[in-house]
Amino acid sequence: MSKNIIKLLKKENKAIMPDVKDKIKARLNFKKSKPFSKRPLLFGGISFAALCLVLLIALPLLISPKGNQGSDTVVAFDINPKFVFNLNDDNSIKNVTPLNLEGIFVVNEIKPLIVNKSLEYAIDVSLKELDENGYLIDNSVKVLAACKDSAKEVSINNEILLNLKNFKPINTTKINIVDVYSIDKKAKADKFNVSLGFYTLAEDLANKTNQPINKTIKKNLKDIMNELYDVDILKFNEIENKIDYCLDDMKSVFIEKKEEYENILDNLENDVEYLLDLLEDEKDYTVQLSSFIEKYPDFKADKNLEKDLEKFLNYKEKIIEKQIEELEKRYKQEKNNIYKDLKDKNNDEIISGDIIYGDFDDFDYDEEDDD
Amino acid sequence: MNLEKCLKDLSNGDERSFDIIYKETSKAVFHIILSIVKNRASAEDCMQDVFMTVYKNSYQYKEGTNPIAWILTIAKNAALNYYKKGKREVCYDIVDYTDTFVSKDSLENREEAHLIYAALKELSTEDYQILMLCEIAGYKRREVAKILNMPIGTVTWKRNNAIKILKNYLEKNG
Repeated sequence: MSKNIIKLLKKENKAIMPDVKDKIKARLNFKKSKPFSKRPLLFGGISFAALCLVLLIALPLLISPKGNQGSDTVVAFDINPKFVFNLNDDNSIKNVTPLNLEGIFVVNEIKPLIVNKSLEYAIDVSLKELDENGYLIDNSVKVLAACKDSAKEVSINNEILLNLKNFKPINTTKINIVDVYSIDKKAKADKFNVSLGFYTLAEDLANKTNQPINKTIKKNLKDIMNELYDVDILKFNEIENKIDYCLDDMKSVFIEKKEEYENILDNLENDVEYLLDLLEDEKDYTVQLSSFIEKYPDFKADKNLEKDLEKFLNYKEKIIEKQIEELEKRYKQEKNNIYKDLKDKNNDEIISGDIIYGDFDDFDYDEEDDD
Repeated sequence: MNLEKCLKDLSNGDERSFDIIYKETSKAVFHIILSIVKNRASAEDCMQDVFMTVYKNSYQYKEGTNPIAWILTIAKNAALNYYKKGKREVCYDIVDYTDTFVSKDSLENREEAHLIYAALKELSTEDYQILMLCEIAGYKRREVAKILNMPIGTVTWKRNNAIKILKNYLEKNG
């Protein structure tokens, strides 16, 4: 009977379920996707010629230092870890790049959470991550925006400062914010006709590398950032890839284990439902109940089987939820262990060596501990 | 299907992601709305608004949270607004609001969906939602429990109870 009811509901649903997808898409004004079609060779030839022409015009711009300006606006976190946000025109986060090894770890955590999100949200997520890992305890916090447009830069820097001041750290009483601006610097920036943030970074680079400011001020933002933080881009990418690869590997083992737990719950759910259906249809359930008790020896049937099954399912859910919680904790811990291990190594060692990841083999479902 | 990724891609205007999100959630969205507004035509209108909102606000979706729950919360809120608006405009002097809204639908639909309309009348909103999320939208009890923030045993019990009520209804009304 239960099955018939569900069957009937499904049939009726087909009859009344509206299909408004196209109406919504028309309202949303999605661009119509172009169907794949074989075009005559002539069009292909013309397209290729057009592409060559575009490349011919654009290539010098792309490879010249002036053309490769990188992002127009950057927000640099110079704490240790060091990393930089590249912003879109609307000040949302376009990309996040680490500028030192510890930056790789932080970026690994925050990047999936903040790309395309607002700057305010991204700063909050970053500060929380830094605070959680104890990076705000003794370090001074220098966060600086640099942008071609001085007015925009000032407004972004004010927003950053406000966020820094409003942030309530858990692991330290107060964060030590470094004021990167001075009246003196403002005059110098005006002299070079650049924004204050850009001047600050160019001056930092000049001081660090003993280059004259006249030279560093002519560089683009991306080059300044790379030189300032000694970023060996190729080596850095290699390290990032290596860490990503190992973390992905560990993540897939973790997900597999998590699914294992969820399957236990799904199976139990099906077994309970089968029993309830028998009960509902007033069929003989004694055989099924015995095999259920055999399969789940901790199930105790009392007077009201329905209620007992509900209680049992809730009880098992709590246990499995706890197990998954433990598994997640363990996963985070394993990840931190990898980071800790890597911090003691130099870049070449990381690239050439093996990174051990947790296999969770010793992490088995054991409900006895949770009574 | 990774709805999280789809929501992220949708915020970048990816049309294919919209198709996937619609396919994966439209049944649930429709029945959540229907459970509140109790009228198919209103549910259809409201459903459009819900998916428009999902598209426009997809950037606000917080990664790591339950994407279905996020979409269904939008659906619930939209339906409640619709309900309040409808109540103000139509039902200021009618006591059995539910019945009025059900009877506003075309007779044809009522006959086509006799049992669904019976479910709307006979079940509580929560029981109807649980039944439809489990049996029509096809989510696992575990997923429904997460979406509705209640223990899995309760979901199973309520789903079973809903079936029992419908069974009695059919026995009485043929």
